Amino acid sequence: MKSTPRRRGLGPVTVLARVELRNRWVSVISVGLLLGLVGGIGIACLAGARRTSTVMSRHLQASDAPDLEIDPGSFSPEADRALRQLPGVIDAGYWVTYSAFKLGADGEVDDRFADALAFTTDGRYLDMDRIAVADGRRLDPTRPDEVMVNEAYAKAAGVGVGSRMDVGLFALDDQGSPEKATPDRRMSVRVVGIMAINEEITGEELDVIGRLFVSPAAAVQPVGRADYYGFAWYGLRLRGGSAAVAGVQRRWNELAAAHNAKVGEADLAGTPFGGGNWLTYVHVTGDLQRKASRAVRPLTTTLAAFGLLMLGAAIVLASQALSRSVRLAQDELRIARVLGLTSVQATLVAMAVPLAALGLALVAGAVVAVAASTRFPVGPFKVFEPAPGLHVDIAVLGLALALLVLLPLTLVAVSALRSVRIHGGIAAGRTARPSRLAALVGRTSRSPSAAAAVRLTVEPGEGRSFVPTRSMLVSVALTVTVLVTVLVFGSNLSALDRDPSRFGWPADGVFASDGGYSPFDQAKVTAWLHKQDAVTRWRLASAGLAVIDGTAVPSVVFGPGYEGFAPTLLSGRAPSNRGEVVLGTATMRTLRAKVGDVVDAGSGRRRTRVRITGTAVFPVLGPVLAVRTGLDRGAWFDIDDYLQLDNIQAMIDQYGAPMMPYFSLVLYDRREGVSAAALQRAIRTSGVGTGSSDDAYGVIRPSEVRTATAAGVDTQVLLCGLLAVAAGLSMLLTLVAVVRRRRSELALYRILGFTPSQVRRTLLAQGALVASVGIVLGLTFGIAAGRTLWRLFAIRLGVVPDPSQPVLGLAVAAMATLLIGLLSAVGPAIAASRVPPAAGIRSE
Amino acid sequence: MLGTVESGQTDSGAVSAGGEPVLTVRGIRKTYEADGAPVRALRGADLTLSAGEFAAIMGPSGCGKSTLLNMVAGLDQADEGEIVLAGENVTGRSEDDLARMRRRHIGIVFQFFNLLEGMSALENVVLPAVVAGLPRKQAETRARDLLDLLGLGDKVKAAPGVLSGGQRQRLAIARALANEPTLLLADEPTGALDSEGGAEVMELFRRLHAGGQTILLVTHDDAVAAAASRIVRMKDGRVLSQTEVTSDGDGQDPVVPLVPPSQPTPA
Repeated sequence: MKSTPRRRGLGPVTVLARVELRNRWVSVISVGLLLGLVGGIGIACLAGARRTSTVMSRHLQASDAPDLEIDPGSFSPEADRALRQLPGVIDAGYWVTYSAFKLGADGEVDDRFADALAFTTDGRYLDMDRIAVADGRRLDPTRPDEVMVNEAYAKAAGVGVGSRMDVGLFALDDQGSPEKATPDRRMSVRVVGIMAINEEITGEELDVIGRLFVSPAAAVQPVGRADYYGFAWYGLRLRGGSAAVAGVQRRWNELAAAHNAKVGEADLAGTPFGGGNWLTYVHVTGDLQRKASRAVRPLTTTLAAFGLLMLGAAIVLASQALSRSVRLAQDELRIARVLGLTSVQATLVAMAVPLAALGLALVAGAVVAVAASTRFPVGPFKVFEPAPGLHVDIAVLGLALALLVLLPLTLVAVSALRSVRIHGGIAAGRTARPSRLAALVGRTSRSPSAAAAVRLTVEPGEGRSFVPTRSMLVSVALTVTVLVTVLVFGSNLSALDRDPSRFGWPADGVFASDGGYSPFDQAKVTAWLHKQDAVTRWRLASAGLAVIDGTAVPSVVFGPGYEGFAPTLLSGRAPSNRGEVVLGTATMRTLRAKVGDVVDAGSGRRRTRVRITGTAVFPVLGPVLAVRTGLDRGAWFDIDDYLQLDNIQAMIDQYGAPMMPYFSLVLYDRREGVSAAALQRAIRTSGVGTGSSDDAYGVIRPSEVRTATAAGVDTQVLLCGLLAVAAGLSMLLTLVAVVRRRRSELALYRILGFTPSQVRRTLLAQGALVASVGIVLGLTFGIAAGRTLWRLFAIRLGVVPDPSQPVLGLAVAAMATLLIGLLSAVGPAIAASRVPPAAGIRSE
Repeated sequence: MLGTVESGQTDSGAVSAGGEPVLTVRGIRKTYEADGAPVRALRGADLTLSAGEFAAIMGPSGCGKSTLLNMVAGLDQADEGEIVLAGENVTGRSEDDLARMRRRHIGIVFQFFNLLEGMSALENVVLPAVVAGLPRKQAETRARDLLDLLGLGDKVKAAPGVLSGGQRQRLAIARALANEPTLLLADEPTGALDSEGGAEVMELFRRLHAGGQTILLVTHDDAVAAAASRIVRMKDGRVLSQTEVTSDGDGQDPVVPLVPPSQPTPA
């Protein structure tokens, strides 16, 4: 008996693997690069979605943002001291509005900028909660001549980076207008940067006003000269971070209540105290971050879905291409097995091409993903990216590349192990098991073309005649599913844009007295409204903050007028009696309350108990640049309860009895045919408001809805288009492969009596069959997925979640899919009909 | 002219031509499942082959001759029975054991060559030796010798696709001889060749047999079978008869033995 030579397990594997790579290097490079490109784009989108969704939180972290901002009203040394001494405050910064206006060439106030606000600061926005720079650079706090402006200011004033202008500092009268024509102080300044302020991006359009930001070096310290500045905002960083916000907020409410009580007593005694009432307006940074996060969610979800789809496509593509490569090598590997290669050795040889292609894909994918990272983040928050440029998201890159390589590798390894089996002889497995479905259709169908089409679709063939028709069915069904999902989701997103009641907005517009800060003379405004033909119906409303269970909650209340102007109820009923309140769902979560619970409203001595009667989607109502109700945040009180809340009562006291009840807003519908702009102009110039900046707005879209609908719909339309192209291409390539690799089978049909037109019809029927399967499965799963996704998204966004079906859109999508199926089959069908019958007998 | 002599049955039912048995097949049964119906390919086939013998298996299509060859090569597993090759039991072993057995004992020639098209002629012959663990250089030396011996010395770098049918089958034979197989199996080796190519290949088999190579060949062709020393006839999955072939020697050119070069000892 012969002795076994020294074992050299990898020797033959290396030899054969080299031969495989030598013979298939073109396929290695093309598959590797294609996978790298498709997978890399997918990974870039996934990483980009992550980068986009986290941009605001990273910006806030990078800029030492405060945990809480409080507007105490106007600046006063008492408020300054009290705020800095709040428990847990480790750092505080402030900015105040500054009565500084751009001067025209003649040295007078430039009327175009009468509404523009100028700000100064003791350093906040430069070292705390830094503004982002959209263009130019951040101003040097030691240079008094440097200013920054926001885009609204730059656009209105026609200035840009490098522009010079004169700014005058004025004392203001009671109406907020300069007391005299010439400024108390004149500054010649240079615009060094265009700034983006996070509160502006996450606020509503009415908050976007021209802003000029003066260097601290040029600031007149506001202490002691109240007539030079308006409101102030304090940024506070807390030892406990966001977890400490509620406690600090509660403490400030208590201090303000106690202070305001003293102010009231001092007023009665005629001895002014402490610079007036302290307000309890707050901006919680966590809320801003959440608002930003949910505003970009449709965009990031779409981007992530697209990324996943691309990654999935790359994985499917890799699995198909590499399994095909293994099948191509199958015959030779079986020969090598006959020559003595073990199954493991043969599998390793079979894996040479897949491994090389996937290795190349790994490198190419990483390069593409990192190179494409410069395109991200996308959307309105791009400007806040603290580290723009190339970005390597190790977690996403690692995980996605692992998936891109390991999944196909596993599938291909299984395929390879099966391919190298030789039980039953070297030719074993060449004949695939016939499909029962194809046999059934063959028996029952009167159309030979239809039967042949079913056979060509469900029987993928073996070895060199293998065509991944089943994968094509799955991928087309998956594509149509995603397409329908996007369509259902996108149509609901569009409906949200079209139907303001979905985001709680009830009317054509709103008239805000003094930007919502000062009350109307109710008799005067009511009389004026009755006289207006252009206004069909109206309702008085008021908005402000109320303290519920120790937490400041933006609140609304409605007065006389059309009762339909109210938040959109989601559950329960509207407050119809004293002691009732409707809350937003997020507010309910914050208060850990549910419908039917009783909560404590008010603070200090004036408290009242109210029962939650329902939940609603709230319109954006409240003063400009202040905390307002909106979507899932807010409280809707009965008017009598509202008037008892102590901060409201303090304002009523301040404005006196004739102003009662306190209404600063009028919601209105305009008559059909009346221009919205004309009516708004009429309202502004009516003189029935009480403030210097009475204004009228149309539908006020919450910033989240604005961002979501703008960015989301565009991206989804793009995604739908790409998907349709991808589905068509996938079908086209597979049908071309059917004609090329099943040539002898097609020729056999001709031998058996098929006419060329029957062969053509066979391929067309195959295209229609694949599209139809895609339509049936895609509609079933896509509608369900789209509705579920929309509900989840709407609940998190805080809008009305009831999903609708775009029936017409779905019908068009189904027809388009069928058309794409047929169109992609036209070329292959013509080619198939030209296969000569002789091709069927030329094998071996 | 060639004459034939009927051989006697052994006790076990197998027929031996005398000498030390290289291959013993006892009571092999194999049933396949095809279209849901069982196909009994082998129904208790017996065969014994002595060292240096050249047996040709003949029979109608579906009689089980190729199945029997696959069993002997370890390419398929029997349901029942025993196959002993060079003293080693082939039945009931794992695929990998069978692969190692093939390296040591089996060389196979197929009807359609089954050459590795992506490799050169030389690489095709080198491969089995490398698979068996021979260092590449030694494997190449032996492969060149074999190609020279089989008249393909000038085709070492050629791809199999550019060779004629006869040349391709000669290349397949060279590959089958790469590891000095105990048993050379051939499944319809002339089936895909023209008459000239077929004669060329059969001449090689005759010379290899004359050089002492044990050969088991499957064929439909009486002329091909006539080159063997014994003809085994099969029908319905059983060995029907076995016939010794004797040469009367008149007018026949003497066969020049073909002895492949010895495999070098691995370094």
